[in-house]
Amino acid sequence: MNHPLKKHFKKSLVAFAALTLVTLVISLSLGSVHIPFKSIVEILISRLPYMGHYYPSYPDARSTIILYIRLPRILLGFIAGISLAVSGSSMQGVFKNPMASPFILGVSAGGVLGTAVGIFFGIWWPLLPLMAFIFAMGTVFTVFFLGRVKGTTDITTLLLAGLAMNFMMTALTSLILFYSDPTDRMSIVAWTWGSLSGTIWNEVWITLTVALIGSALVYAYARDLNVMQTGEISAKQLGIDVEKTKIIQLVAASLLAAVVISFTGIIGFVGLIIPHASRLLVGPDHKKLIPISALLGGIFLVTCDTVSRMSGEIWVGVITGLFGAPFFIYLLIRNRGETGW
Amino acid sequence: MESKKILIVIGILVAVVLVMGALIGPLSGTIDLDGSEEPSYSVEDKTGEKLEFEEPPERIVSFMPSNTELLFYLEVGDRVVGVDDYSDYPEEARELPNVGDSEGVNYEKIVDLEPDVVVISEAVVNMREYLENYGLKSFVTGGNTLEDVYSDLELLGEMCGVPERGEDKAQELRSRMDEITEDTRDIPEEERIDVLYISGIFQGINTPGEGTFQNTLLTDAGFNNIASDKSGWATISEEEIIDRDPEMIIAPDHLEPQVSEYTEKDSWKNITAVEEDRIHFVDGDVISRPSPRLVDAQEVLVDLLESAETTSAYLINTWSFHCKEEVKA
Repeated sequence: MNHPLKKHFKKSLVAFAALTLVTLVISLSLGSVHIPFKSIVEILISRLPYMGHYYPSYPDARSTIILYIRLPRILLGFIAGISLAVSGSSMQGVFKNPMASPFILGVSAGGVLGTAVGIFFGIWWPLLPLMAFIFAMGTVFTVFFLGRVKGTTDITTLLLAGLAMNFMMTALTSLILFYSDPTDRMSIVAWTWGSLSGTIWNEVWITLTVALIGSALVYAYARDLNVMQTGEISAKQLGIDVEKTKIIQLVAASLLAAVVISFTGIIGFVGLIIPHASRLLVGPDHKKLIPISALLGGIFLVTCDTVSRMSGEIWVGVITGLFGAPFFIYLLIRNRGETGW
Repeated sequence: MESKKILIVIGILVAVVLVMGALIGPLSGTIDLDGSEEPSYSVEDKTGEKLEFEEPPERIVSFMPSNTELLFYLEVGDRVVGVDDYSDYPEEARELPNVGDSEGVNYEKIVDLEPDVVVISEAVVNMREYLENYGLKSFVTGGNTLEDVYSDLELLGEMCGVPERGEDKAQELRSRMDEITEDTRDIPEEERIDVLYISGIFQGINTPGEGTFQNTLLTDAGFNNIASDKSGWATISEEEIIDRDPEMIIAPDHLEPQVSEYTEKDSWKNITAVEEDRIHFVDGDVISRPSPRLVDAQEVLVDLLESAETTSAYLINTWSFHCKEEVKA
């Protein structure tokens, strides 16, 4: 197998972390309004504790643009990228299948339905992620149990069940949108293709907390996931509680995807291709795979969203698809027959 | 061993959060709209929200073409510093910086223009929440009726510190409308021409019913709107259209290709309007925006009614001519 970064995991982790920083800085300095780099640095420094004395805070429009429009949006994009990529890695590990992803198993559609139900009944907005989580988890466990045939997971049944749930959830969402008041009707397109426009700080804090808890849970059971890849029977013989691991992983994965989706709509492709790309780079070891996936997912989504911001708000899911698919095909051709599994 | 590592990982993650929190901590929540000075006047907008002003707004961003037209009609166009992508009237509005459309609002641009107020409409009322986050005031116009256009003028006048001008302009518009429809608005029910107005093609054929300004325009122009039993902008099925048999079909010009697709269908060929080729397309910008230019739309509709009356008279004449010919033969 050809995993270019497998032997240099620590170095590549540092390299990706550095790349993350570069991406965040570049993306912060790009936007429809030109703001000189020097001003951006001054605006940021003025907000550091104890620095306000040396750099008086900028009360003007520039400062609002950087601190209240660009920064929260970029951070949410980064956190969303992490969450979706880790969620995808976890699902692919649990189902031992390269097709598994929050999108394909209907988790995304379930999350959107939960959010739409919440908005329809006018519940308090901080509870929307919870609604999304409940519906997403309902979907993933339905798919999971439908896919179980005689104690093992039948992949064909699982994917078909995911497909069916996906259609049903999407149809129910459209039904709610059809009956909702046109003036507060959410844009169906924005929900289907995702958008990070208009992010507020509270959304950043909520997704950050969830991303940390969810990713920590997934990472904590990374070793068990590794052992499970060799077969559930041998994993059981090695003393691993396979069922418990699966359930924890699925809850964490649904949580990660659902909370992001409740704020951004469905951003496809990140949860599918980023884990794959990472697997091609560092191999199937989840302890390496998950951190690399997380960083790669964050970088990828921030980059795509920057393109979205610069292009007059094309939905970010459109861009993840446009960029992601060709890159993924390139990786497939390069590693023909060697998908890393 | 394993659990130790997990603890370390979680520890690092928590540290990251704390650092980020310290960096941006003061940023959670929203910017306070500063109310340091005593407001000198307040205006209630269409949502019932009370907006307080210390002095009349000097920098206005107008979102929605109708708002732009209203502001320029009020002669405060020189205060407009930015408009949405679709604002193309009057000519001066085309020169102004664009701030996106409802599918993609360019908030960065709006904030950069440093407006004292952003004028939005009920259709995009969800923008208010975002604008508040950036410390910007928003004033909501809207409503579906012709009366709403007049009251928008009055409210915008009040907001801009020119309340008398707002009232005068509204009155001016009202009397022009009355003038145009003087001969047509009292035409008795049974003499009216049945008309189908197609306002959009979205999930079926959309048509203005009771409580829409287009219904009022049609009725005042002397037509009988075949969808006046519906409320608001509604969908009308092809079956209903065939059953109600309109004598004229009117649609905005940008819908011409889609409407023609329908009217060329075999199932439509027995509809009187199609049979007699009375399908008219009018300037979509003028008839679709709740703006002062609705008077122009009203004039066009009144003209259409007159033309319809002359053509039917013409048809009756030619028909009687044919009868005479037949008798002769």
